[in-house]
Amino acid sequence: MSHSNRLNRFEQLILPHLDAAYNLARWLTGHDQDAQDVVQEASLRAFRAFDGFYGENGRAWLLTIVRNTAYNLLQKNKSLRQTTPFDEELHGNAGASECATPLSLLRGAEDEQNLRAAVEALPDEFREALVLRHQDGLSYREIALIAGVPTGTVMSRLARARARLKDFLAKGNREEEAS
Amino acid sequence: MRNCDETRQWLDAYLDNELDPVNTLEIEQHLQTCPACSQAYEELRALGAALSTVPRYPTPAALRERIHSALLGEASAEAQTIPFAPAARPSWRWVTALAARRIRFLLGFFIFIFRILGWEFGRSAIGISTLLFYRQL
Repeated sequence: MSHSNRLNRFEQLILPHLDAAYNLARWLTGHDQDAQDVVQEASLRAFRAFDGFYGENGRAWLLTIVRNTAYNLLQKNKSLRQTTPFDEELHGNAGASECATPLSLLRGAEDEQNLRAAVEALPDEFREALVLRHQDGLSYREIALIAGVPTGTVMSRLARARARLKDFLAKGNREEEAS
Repeated sequence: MRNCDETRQWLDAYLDNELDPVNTLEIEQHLQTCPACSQAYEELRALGAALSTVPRYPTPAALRERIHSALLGEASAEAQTIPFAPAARPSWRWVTALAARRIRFLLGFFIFIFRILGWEFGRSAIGISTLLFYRQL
């Protein structure tokens, strides 16, 4: 493959997914500049590794590299950004809300800022699953591929993430009503 | 027929269209007859719909440009290194040059054989050498 062909192919198959790449990196790092650094580094890494890509799923392939690059950066910046270590038991859906009525939930969910803040407060693994599912419309299989976990884990992470969001939003509404 | 616990367990996968047709049908049947599970599903669906409307972070235009020029730089750097990369197959010019040298050597060798050992021996020497020559090439 000639070098300009390779670049052309890369631009056709991989670069259309740059928006998904930046969005994921932005959600994972929580900062615009960090996200830009991650996406630029990941794009170059992807281009260097492009010969090993056989054209099955350009989006999942790029997002896998973006995710790994983002986690590397988060590891490095751990002292700058306080992240709680992920623990399936600790962060499970213990005490899932029974009192969220559809009405209160909807009112809270309609508040976009509220919801965004609630998603940002979730552990990284929950947040990435939600973003990939709801903003990119990826299947469990694709998310599993990107996160390097079985599809069953994707399903349970999404279920727990949503349970926590419902909890969070219901609590916010109750506080609002009390004040 | 599924009970409530089983239904709740698969509600997220049902929402995400990740269940096979048999399980999907069973969940649907349970939701039609159970108001509590039906309400739980409605909440989940509303949450999912709200999540899908949260706008994505837009990609900065400057980032797109930086990546484009970084890729161009990377591609041209690779293009410059190619002459030093080992050739996967010898070029035809190289092969013919080598063949010409061998043919000249063999001609000299046959003349020598004919002169010293005579016609009969020389003919079989040509046959064996030609065979070896093609196998090496």
